[in-house]
Amino acid sequence: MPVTIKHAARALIFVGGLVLLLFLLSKVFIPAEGTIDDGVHTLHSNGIYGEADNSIDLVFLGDSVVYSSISPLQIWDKYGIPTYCCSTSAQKLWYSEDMLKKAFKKQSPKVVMMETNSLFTKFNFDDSILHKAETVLPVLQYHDRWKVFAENTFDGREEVISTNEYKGYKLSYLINPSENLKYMEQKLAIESIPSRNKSYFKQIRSYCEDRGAKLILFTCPSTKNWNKARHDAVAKLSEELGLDYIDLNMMPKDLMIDWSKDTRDRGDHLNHFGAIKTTEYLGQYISKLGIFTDRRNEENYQSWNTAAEKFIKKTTKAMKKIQQ
Amino acid sequence: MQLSSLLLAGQGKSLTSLFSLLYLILFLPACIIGYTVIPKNWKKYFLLLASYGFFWLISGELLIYLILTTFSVHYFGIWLDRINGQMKEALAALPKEERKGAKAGFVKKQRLVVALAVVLHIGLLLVLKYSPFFTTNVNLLLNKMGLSINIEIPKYLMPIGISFFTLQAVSYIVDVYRGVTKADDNLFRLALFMSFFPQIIEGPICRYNQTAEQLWNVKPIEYKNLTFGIQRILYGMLKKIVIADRLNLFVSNIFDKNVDYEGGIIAIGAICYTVQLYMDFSGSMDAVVGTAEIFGVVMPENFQRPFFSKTISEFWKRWHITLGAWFKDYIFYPVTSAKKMKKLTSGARKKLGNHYGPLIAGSIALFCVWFCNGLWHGSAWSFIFFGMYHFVLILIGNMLEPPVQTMNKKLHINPKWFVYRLLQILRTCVLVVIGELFFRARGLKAGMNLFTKMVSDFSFTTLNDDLLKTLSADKYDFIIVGVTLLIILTVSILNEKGICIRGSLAKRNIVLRWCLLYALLLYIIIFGAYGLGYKPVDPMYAQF
Repeated sequence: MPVTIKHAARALIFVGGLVLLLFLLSKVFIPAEGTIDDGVHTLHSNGIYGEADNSIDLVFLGDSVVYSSISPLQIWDKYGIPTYCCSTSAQKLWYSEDMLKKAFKKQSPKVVMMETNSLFTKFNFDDSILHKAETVLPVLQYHDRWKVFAENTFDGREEVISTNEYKGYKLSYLINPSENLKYMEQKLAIESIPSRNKSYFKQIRSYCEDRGAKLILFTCPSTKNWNKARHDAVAKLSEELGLDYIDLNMMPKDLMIDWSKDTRDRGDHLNHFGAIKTTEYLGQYISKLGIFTDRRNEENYQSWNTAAEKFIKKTTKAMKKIQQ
Repeated sequence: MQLSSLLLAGQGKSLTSLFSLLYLILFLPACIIGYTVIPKNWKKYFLLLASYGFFWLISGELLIYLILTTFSVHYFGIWLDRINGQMKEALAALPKEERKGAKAGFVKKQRLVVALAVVLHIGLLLVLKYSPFFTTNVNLLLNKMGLSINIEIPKYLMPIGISFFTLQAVSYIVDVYRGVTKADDNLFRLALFMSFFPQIIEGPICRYNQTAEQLWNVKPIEYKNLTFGIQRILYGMLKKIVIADRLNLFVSNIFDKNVDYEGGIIAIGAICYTVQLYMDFSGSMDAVVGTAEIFGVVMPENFQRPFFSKTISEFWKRWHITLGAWFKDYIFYPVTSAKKMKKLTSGARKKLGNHYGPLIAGSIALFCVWFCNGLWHGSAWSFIFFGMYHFVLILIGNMLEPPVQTMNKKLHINPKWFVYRLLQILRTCVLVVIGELFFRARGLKAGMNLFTKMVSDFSFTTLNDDLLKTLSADKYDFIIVGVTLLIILTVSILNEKGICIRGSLAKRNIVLRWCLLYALLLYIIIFGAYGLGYKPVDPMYAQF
């Protein structure tokens, strides 16, 4: 029997029924906001949802190079600017956009600093379509929570997330030197930013503009992920869009990264020694923007002072031990 | 904008498998709708266009390899046909006694054409796929000889599916030469046979006689074909997304990290890899067969419940059937039917009897088959070892057949006895798992180390929740894999008994049918390994 209009109508009803079922299941599977399950895959970056409302002035977005290179507590300690690293491993731009939107739900950062490595992280059609479908039918995102149900049997015993103790920074003292010291000197043709990535980036820019947040592009030092071809591509894009851009790979004399000591994995990511230098430079840069006020003496931020004190004490002691 | 950039990017890799969302929710529905609304005479051209579009999405500009291969086999076929025509004309004009000599000349010419075609196509495959392996080994040899010459290791971009469509091309040429099929003078028909989109990534390796006419003589989409096809694709998704992809991280952690696991853990890893490979490949084949079924095309089956096999030989008749059949028809038979081999067999038969006599020539042919089989899977010593491992197992099986039969008779063991058959199946499974351990290991040396460790330190003392966590798994992963395997085992037993589940379901009322379909879909959506926390896994056989 050939396919008829009756069959097509029946198929549509079937698909409609499936969507309805998924919609109902989403109600069961979606975790309460701010719970561990809500950020089950990226607890350190999701810690921003545990921060007090409207307490973060600057958000860093990007992949693992961000949480390895920038320590918000160091910026706080020196300049009193509350910042947070919303960075995750191999972050793709659709995820950056998602994180940003979630962050803006409770925060009103004045500046969003976006690391540029993600601009080159390719993702396929499936990634973006699944992501879009997840926003309509959250069961597609949280389907793996059947494991939680198996443990907790729907009794709602979910631990509320607390803020991450290092504000999204991941501390590492590992040293694994890089020998690729001339990584910015190679003469390569300008690398094109994938068109799909550009489109997502423009959405992020519009989102920031609509909320009055200044978007700044920056690149963390990495001998493995970065080169002149990428720098040129981002410089061109930032010029086209009128955005500020700082590439920390282009200022070796200011930053003084020692690739024999400051990286944990042969130049892919910085370790804490490298992060101190990067954070110092970036801290100075953002403090000079003239946008932020020093909040160290504000009553609401005393927990930040305590966290920073603890962090500095711990890291200084550990570093001394390593250097001995 | 995104869709147009996707189609025009030409970077390939936009589409990675028959389970990708792009395929399932855009490409396939668009093909079904387009195929339905287009006039009958244009449907076949539509399928050809869709197939090239599909290949463009997976391999980008490397589509040129497929186009050139199609042109090449088309003209080689016509060339062979022309020689054949010339031969017929010439022989008809000659007296009977002169025909034999004249025919030999034409046959020689045809053989040269076939040899040229085979060398060209297999040669291209060898260069693209094996020259890095060959160069690496030459460099090693030169270094061992004390020569400080280092040949640069070439790197080529290889289109997905080249190992599959090259074998299909060679089979067409040889079949034209053998007179099994006529040379196709219609380039578009041959192009559709070579490129039909569901089969281009992982096969099955079809013969011209199996699918070319079916594809060309297209029919409108039937309701039954559509529903059966979709059900088969869903069954494939169950295997691939719920089982194979869920086991992926666990298997990768065991085989790819340099951690000294105890033997029991390695054994679990090897079993899981075997399950993963089977579910991945057979699941993909379900999607291929199901897609073809939608368009009314019957594809050859590539799997027939291989883990019910009682011997390794039987296993390979049930696993990757079309590859085994290709090796049998284009390597095994030509080797055994060569004049020298026939002579060897008749001589050996007199001395060694009817069982062991033909075994010598058969074993030489078998060696060639398994050497090529190993090498076809990849350019590494571990794959050659994998081939040789199975060659030795099949050879031992063939040699032990008469003594085992005698022993069974003497001990009054009935080979049809259930426990006996079960033990045979278990033995075959164990041997297969060992083979797959070497197949998956990162090199032959790593495989040897894993095997030694598995045998010498077989214990499970470190197996606990913490270890599973470090291996990116937990007990729930194994529970869901186990439950799904039970579902598949039940379906397999029913299929083995010749019961057609889809046929039985079609006779039930719509409420039951829809409930079952919803249950299957929700099972895949909830228990599937996709999204954050999982890495999408490309079809495993596409890399071979």
